[in-house]
Amino acid sequence: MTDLKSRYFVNFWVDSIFIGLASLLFYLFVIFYGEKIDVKYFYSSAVFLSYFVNWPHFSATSFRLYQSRKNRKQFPLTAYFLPFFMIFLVALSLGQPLVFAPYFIKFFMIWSPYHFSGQTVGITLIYCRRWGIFIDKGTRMLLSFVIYGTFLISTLKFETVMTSADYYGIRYPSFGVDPVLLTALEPMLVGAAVLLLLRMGQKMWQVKRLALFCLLPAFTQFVWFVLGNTNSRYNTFVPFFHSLQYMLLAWAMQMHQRKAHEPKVASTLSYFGRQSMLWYGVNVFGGAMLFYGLPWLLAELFSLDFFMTTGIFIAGVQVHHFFVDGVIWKLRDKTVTAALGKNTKELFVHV
Amino acid sequence: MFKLFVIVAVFFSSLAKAQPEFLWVKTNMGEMLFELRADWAPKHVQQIKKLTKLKIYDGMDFHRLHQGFVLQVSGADQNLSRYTSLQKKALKKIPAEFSKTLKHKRGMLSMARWDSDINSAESSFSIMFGSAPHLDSKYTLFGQIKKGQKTLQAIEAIAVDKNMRPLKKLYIKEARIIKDLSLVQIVVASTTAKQINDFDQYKKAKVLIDKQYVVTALILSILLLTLIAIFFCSRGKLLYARSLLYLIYLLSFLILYWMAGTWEERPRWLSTAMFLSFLATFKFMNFFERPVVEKSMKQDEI
Repeated sequence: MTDLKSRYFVNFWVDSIFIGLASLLFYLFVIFYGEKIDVKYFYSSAVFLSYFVNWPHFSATSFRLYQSRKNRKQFPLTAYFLPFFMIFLVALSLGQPLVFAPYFIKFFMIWSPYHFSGQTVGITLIYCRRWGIFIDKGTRMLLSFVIYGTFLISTLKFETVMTSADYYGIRYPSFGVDPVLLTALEPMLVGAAVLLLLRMGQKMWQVKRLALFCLLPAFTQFVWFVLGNTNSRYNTFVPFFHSLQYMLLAWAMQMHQRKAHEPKVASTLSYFGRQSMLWYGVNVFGGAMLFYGLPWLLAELFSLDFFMTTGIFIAGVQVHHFFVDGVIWKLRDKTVTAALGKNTKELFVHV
Repeated sequence: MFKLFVIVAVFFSSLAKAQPEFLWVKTNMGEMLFELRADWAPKHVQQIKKLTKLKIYDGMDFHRLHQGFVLQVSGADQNLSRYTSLQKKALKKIPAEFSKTLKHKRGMLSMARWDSDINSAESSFSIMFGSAPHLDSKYTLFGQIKKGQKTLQAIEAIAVDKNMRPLKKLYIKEARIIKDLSLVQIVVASTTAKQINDFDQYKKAKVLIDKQYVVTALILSILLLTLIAIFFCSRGKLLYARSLLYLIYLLSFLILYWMAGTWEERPRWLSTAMFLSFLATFKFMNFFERPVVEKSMKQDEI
C-alpha cells in the first residue's frame, strides 16, 4: 500500500499548482478574459517571469550535474565534452548567421517541445509510481504516443505549411512536411487517448484508487499543445509552466539529496528554508548569466549584434540543457531514485 | 409549422446582402487576393471554397503559363496520391455556369474543364493574363483579382519552355478563404522580372539541386554508419571515440539539413523524411551517455 503522504512531493495543492493547475486556470482566464487585455502585456509578463522561473530552471539542470564530482565522473562526455561542442556550434552560427544559424535554430526549435513532452511522460510515470499504479510496457507506449502526439500535432501545424518564422532576427524555414502526416495523426491521437483513458481507468480500478492526479500532466500537455496552441496569449506562457514543473521537482530532489548526503544536519524548517533560498538564488543568478550576462559579454568582446548573439547563445544553452536533462535523471545514485518517491515532510524526520 | 419557419428563414436570408468572400493565394512569387463571385457562379465558388478549406491547393503547381493569356493551376486529379480520402472525396465534377454577359479579361478567375465535356470542371482553374473572347460563354468565370497585380506581373515575366511550362518552379504555398479584408496584407514578390528571366541562372540552380541529391545521399550514408558505430561504441568504454562519433553525427546531420535547402528546393517526401529523422535524432540523443559506474557504486547499488 502506498503511503498517502508520498503521493505528492509537497501536498495536493502545491503539486497541483506546479504540475498543471496553474496552467489550466490560466488557460481559462485567457479564454474568457484574454481578448480584453492587450497582447503586449502577456508578452511582457512572460518575459518578466522568465527571470524568476524559466532561466533558473536551465541553471538548475546544470547545477544538478556540476555540483558534485561524483556526478561529473558518471557523465564525463556530457559534463566536459558537450559544453565545448555547444560553444563550437554557437561560434559556427555566429560566424555564419545566414548559412548555418537558421539550421541550428531550427534544430533547437523542434527539440524544445519534444523535450517538454519527455518531461510530461517522466512526471506522469513518477506520480503513477507514487500512487501505486503499475505502468506496463504497453501502457507506457500508449502514454508516450499520446503525449508526443500532442507535440507532433502542434509542430506539424507549422511544418506542413511552407513558410518561415523569425527568431531573434534569424529566419528559419518550415520543413514543408506532407500534410498527410497531420491528417493521419489526428484520428490516431484521438483513438490512442481513448485507449489510454480506458487502460488507466482499468488500472485505477485494480488498485481501487481514483488516481486522477496521474493524468494531470498529460492533460496539461494537451492544453499546452492542442487547445492553447493557436492562442498566442497563452502559448507564450507554455515554457514558463514547463519550467514551473521542473523547478518543483528539482527543488524537492535537491533538498532530499542534501539530507541524504548530510544526515547530521538539523532537520528544521529554517535550515531547509535557507537551503532553498540559497539553491534558488544560485539558479536565478546562473540563469541571468546564461541568458543575459554571457551573451552580452560575447557581443561586447567580439563586436557582435547583441540581439542576434543572445538568440544564438540561448539556443545553445537550451540545447545543452536538453542533453543534460537527458542524463541527469539516470545518475547511479540511490538518493536520486529514493528522492523521486519522497514527500517534503520526510525532510523534517530526524534520522 | 417547421416548414413555414424554414421558408421564412430562407426568404429573409436571401434578402440579406451576402458578405463578400475572398480567395487569398500565396505563391512562391508573392501573394494575390481574388474576390469570389457567388452571384456569377454559386456552385463553382462553393467548390473552390470547399477545396481551399481542405488545403487541396497548398503546394499545387502552376503547370501552364501562357503570357498574355492564362496562368493555369494544375488539377488535383494529376497527383491524387498526395491527398487523403477526405480530400479526394471533395473532388467532384461541377456543372457549367456560363455567363452570357461576363467577359474573360486580365485578373479574372476562370474554371478549367475538359474540352469534350462542359460539365467536367473539378479543381483546376486559370488566372487570366489578358482578354480571351474565344473563352467567353464557354468557360465559367467565378472571381476577379482584388489585390496583387504586381505579383501577377512578376509571374507573367517568368520564362517558359516550348510547352508553356514555367522554367522556374512556380506553385501555391497556401490558399485560404478570407472574409475580413483587414487581415490581408499583400506581399509582392521581391524577385525582379529580370532575375526570373535569367535562364542561365535557372540552369545553374538546376545543376545545384541535382548535386544536392547526391550529397544528401552521401551524408545520409555517413549518418547511418555513424549511428551504427555509436550504437556499438556505447556498449564499450571508448569514450573519446564516442565523443568523436557524436561530433560527426551531429555535424553531418546539420550539414545534411543545410544541403537539402529550403522547402522551395526540395520535394515533400524529402522534407517529411528529414522531419522524421529529426525526431529520431532527438530520441537517439536520449541515449547520449550511459553513466560510468565504478565498482564502489555498483556495490552501493546492491
